[in-house]
Amino acid sequence: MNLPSHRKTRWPETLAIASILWFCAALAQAEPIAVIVNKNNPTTQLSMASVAAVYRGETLHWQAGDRIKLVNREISTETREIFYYHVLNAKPDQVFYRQGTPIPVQSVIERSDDAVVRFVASIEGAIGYVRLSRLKEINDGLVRVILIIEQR
Amino acid sequence: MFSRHQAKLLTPELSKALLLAHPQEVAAAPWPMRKSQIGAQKTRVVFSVTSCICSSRSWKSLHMKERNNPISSKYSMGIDSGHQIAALHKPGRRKGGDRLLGRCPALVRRLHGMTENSPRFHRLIEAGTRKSRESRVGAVCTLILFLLLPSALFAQPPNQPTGTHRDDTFEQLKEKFRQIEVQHQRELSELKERLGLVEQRQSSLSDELGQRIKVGAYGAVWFEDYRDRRTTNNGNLELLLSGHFHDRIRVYNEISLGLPDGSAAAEQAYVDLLLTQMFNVRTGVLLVPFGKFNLDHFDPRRDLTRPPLVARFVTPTTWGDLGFGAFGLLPISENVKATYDIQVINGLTDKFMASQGTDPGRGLLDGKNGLRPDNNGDKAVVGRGTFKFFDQYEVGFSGYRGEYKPGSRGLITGMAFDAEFRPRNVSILENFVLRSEFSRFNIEGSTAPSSLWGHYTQLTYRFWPSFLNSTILGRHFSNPTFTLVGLYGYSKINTTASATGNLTGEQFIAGLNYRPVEDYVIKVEYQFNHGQLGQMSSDGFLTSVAWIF
Repeated sequence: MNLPSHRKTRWPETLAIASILWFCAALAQAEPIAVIVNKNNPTTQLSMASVAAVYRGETLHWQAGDRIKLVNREISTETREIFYYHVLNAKPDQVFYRQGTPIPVQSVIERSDDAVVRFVASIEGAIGYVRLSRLKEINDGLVRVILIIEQR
Repeated sequence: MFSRHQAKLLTPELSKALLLAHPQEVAAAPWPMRKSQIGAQKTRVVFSVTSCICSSRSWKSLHMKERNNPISSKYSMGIDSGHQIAALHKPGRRKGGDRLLGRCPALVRRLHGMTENSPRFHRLIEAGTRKSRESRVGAVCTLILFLLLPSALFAQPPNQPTGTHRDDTFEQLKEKFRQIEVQHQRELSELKERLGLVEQRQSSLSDELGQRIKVGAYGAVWFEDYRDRRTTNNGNLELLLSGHFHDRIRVYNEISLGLPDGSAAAEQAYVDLLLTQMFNVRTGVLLVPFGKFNLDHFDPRRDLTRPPLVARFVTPTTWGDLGFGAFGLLPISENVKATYDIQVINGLTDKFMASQGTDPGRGLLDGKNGLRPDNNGDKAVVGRGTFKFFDQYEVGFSGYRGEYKPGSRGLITGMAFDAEFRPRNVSILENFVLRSEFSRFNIEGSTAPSSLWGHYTQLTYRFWPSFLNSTILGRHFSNPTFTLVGLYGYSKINTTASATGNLTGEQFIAGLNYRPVEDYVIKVEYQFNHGQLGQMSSDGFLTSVAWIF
């Protein structure tokens, strides 16, 4: 069945509008995430793969030897969603387990970026992630940024 | 400098006075002085020296305020011919008059060689006494004057405010406000700091306690309804004990509490020495790293109630054994990493071999060592290696080699291949997980069975319809999920105990799970079974509840 000609001509316009909307949505979401550690932590930089290994429970200790303490956000938060998608390549509700045990990788769940910064600032072996914009607002020099995750 | 002996003779009050006048000389003096030399003045004098003894005119007058006397008492000081320092008390004030306080040749030299017999000394004492009395009167008058003068000078007539004073007051208020604000900020930051410390202590404490030991358990109870047999309830309950007794030494124990067999046993009980990410040592009752399912067999983590055929009759799942091994992770590139887990264990025994009255369809299940000593002295080697790509794909290879007969030679060799795929970046596929495993054992010197192999493929899809958020299924939980499960499995045991030379089993399972939280699951499934393995040839309905804490 042949479609009327005016319907056929609307496809490019629809695609263009959809592309613009998608582009705008992508721009709107482009808020970087900062991975932070305590200021006394000698680690100055970590790759995304290293951070992923830490959050998957594959790396348990810092290079200096201290035990790593993970800080997470709640499953429903956008920060966690971005972090899990971009760093762990996982859905935000995915649970990682120690191989051969039913025990999940332990992490502290904090309810705000401020709380994450406070925790990381007070616990030397801690690592967490917060929105970079919020970190700039509240940073009091007690944490160090080791990785900035820019959304692609 | 005072000698130690000389210094001992000084009273505290005199030493204090000297400290003000000659700090370098008195600095070395030990404190307190000998009690007999200190006398009653120790408790009475507060050591407020109101005039300096180095003053050219009153060098000999020490004004010390007594504790119970608001008016300063005067003590005059003199030096005798033996270089002794004496205090001349106020006449009539205190019984005893002059009193030896101590000796200080250095001070004597500084006091121009005067002695108590010197006329100048007496003149100065009298002058000092007179001057002191006069100065006291003068001080009282000055005090009164200073009290009254400001009131007279700055008194404001009522209802006549001056602009300058108002400005001053405003400025003062502003300054005061600023000071209060600064003070407030300082106190706030101090409080924050203290709060941080308290939180840190609490976190450290809870972390310490949490890491030291964790006690948990997981269990499952299920209902089976197969067509060819009576319905039954069955279950499994296991106690978990884990923790660290050092930052790099951790323990893990998984004790099966005897459901349904009735005898408790350690399924895992090992200690890890965590050396590096790439090399760690594990010793104890180990979960044998053969196939992914054996390493991930825990009821609350599985999506189906019963393991697939290959994980029951080919690979004896929940397979644990005594031994030691090493494990680690090797990062190969940014997106590829490898893991390994290799163990030396006692190995399988010959208990699986079919004999009169045994069920030939149980595969290697009965060949598990059961944590007994090795039956043949030959250790088995087992291991598994994996490659992970982009944290989406995981492929694993396992191998086993070990003697099983106590007397004659007989070798069991096994291999397994497993894969897991979690699609990403395509939203419609992101909720799918695909798992598959193939396993095979060859047994030398045995015909019943001589070889076993099997495989399964499982596809799961997680979802949650948002309209259920307001229902009882979702209202109270933050991240509830449903899981649809489909599994196909096939297994074959080549054995002369069967008339056809082999036993086969084929199954297809469809199931649905509900997880209000990750650690609690209700499973419902229906199995379509064909074959002879494990007397499970008929279809059946199973439902179960599993949990972990």
